[in-house]
Amino acid sequence: MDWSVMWSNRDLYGAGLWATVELSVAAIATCTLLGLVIAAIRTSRIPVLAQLARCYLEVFRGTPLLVQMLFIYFGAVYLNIGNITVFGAALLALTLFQGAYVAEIFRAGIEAVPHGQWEASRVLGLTRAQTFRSVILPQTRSIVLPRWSASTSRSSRTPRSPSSSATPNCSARARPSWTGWDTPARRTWRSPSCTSSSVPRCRSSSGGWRERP
Amino acid sequence: MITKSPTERTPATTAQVALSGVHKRFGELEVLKGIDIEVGAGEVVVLIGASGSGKSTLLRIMCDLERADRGEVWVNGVPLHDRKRAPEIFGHVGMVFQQFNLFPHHTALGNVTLALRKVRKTGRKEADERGREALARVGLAEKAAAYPAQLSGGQQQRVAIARALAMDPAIMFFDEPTSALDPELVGEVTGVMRSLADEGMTMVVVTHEMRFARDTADRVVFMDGGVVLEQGTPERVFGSPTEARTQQFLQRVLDT
Ligand SMILES: Nc1ncnc2c1ncn2[C@@H]1O[C@H](COP(=O)(O)OP(=O)(O)O)[C@@H](O)[C@H]1O
Ligand SMILES: [Mg+2]
Repeated sequence: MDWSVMWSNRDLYGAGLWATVELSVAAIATCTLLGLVIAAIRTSRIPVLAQLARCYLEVFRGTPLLVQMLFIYFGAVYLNIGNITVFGAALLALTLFQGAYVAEIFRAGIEAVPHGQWEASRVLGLTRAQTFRSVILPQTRSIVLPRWSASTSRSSRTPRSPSSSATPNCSARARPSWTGWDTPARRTWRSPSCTSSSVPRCRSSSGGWRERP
Repeated sequence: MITKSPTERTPATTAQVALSGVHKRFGELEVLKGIDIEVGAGEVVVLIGASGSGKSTLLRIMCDLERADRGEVWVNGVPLHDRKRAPEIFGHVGMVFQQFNLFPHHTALGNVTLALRKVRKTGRKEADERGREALARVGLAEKAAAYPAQLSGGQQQRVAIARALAMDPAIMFFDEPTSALDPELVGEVTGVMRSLADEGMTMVVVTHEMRFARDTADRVVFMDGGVVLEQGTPERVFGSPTEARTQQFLQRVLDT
């Protein structure tokens, strides 16, 4: 293929890549935060909230990311809610989608901690919140971190799914670069864009997250 | 289940622990069928009985890890049958579990000081000081920096005892504290418990260590099928049990 085409458009690629990095970092932060909160609620026995958290998980784990993105973007545009940017819609969709997976990872970690840890803390006088923060959460690290980094990098494959002509939408500034491109070049660029993969993948391959005890 | 307003009343006795008419069921299974028990200040009561007779459940009710279906439970002046007031008990009694339940991500000192710092809001320096004192009481002053995984079972259980002691509890509960230990490590834990008893700690202990019961208990309580079948001094219960079931149980445990 003709690589000079890519080189002559390096500014556009640069802008697209930058938007992707921004989106990735933002989405990792927000989905982790959301996942943690949802997992905490889901594993609590607070009646209504725990049910709501469960519904959220069912819905967002059951539908493809692309569908959610389109739904949120066009839904917002159609209903004229605020003036949602493509970036905003992508971030929201990624957060909600990936947050559901991260929540399940945190939940698995929380439920792997023996119940005796809760009981010992309770008799000592710690509140549930104190126990969660100081006793339970630190013990979930060995389970959560490897799965967390695997999950955030796995999300890169999800939006790449069949003939996603809408994928370029994920990065507004990168959009012009896709028009009129031959297919191989599009493939090359499609995978890193629209994902939250780049950052955690780098970190996990360097071992920085995995080797924490 | 509670008919009269429990907050209005005070316990009928000055006992540290007073249970009357306590019932508890798990689904179809009626585990406790009307327990009356009192433990005076400084008294050491040992609960014995076959597995499944409800000893752990009774102990867990005494520290509000389980709630009785019926009956009154007063512990250290707190009515645990009163849902609103029950949480007052936390931080004022100590519980030692068969499985230790130490915090694996904290050092021995970290385990012992966590509740002081989070619950009592004690400063780090003072908490560490009191934590080291508690570790010294169980003979582990030099293990302050060790993590639970680096300690033997006996040492872990002693850290668990120190963790409870650091909160200056009014009563200590022990649920088979030596059952998870290799036989050669049992002595160091019962030794610590004996010294606590000598210092005047109020204790309720579930154990199969009959020697500990004989040497240390003020009173032995034999439970069978969810009721207290027989109780008395160790000499009386071990020497001349009146109930056939007690005799059978003692024969079994003393033979093995
Ligand atoms: N949380 C629970 N749910 C259901 N059954 C329980 C629960 N806790 C204890 N039991 C049952 O209650 C009975 C008494 O248990 P327990 O108090 O642990 O006896 P012990 O300590 O004397 O061996 C046992 O049959 C046990 O299986
Ligand atoms: Mg038991």
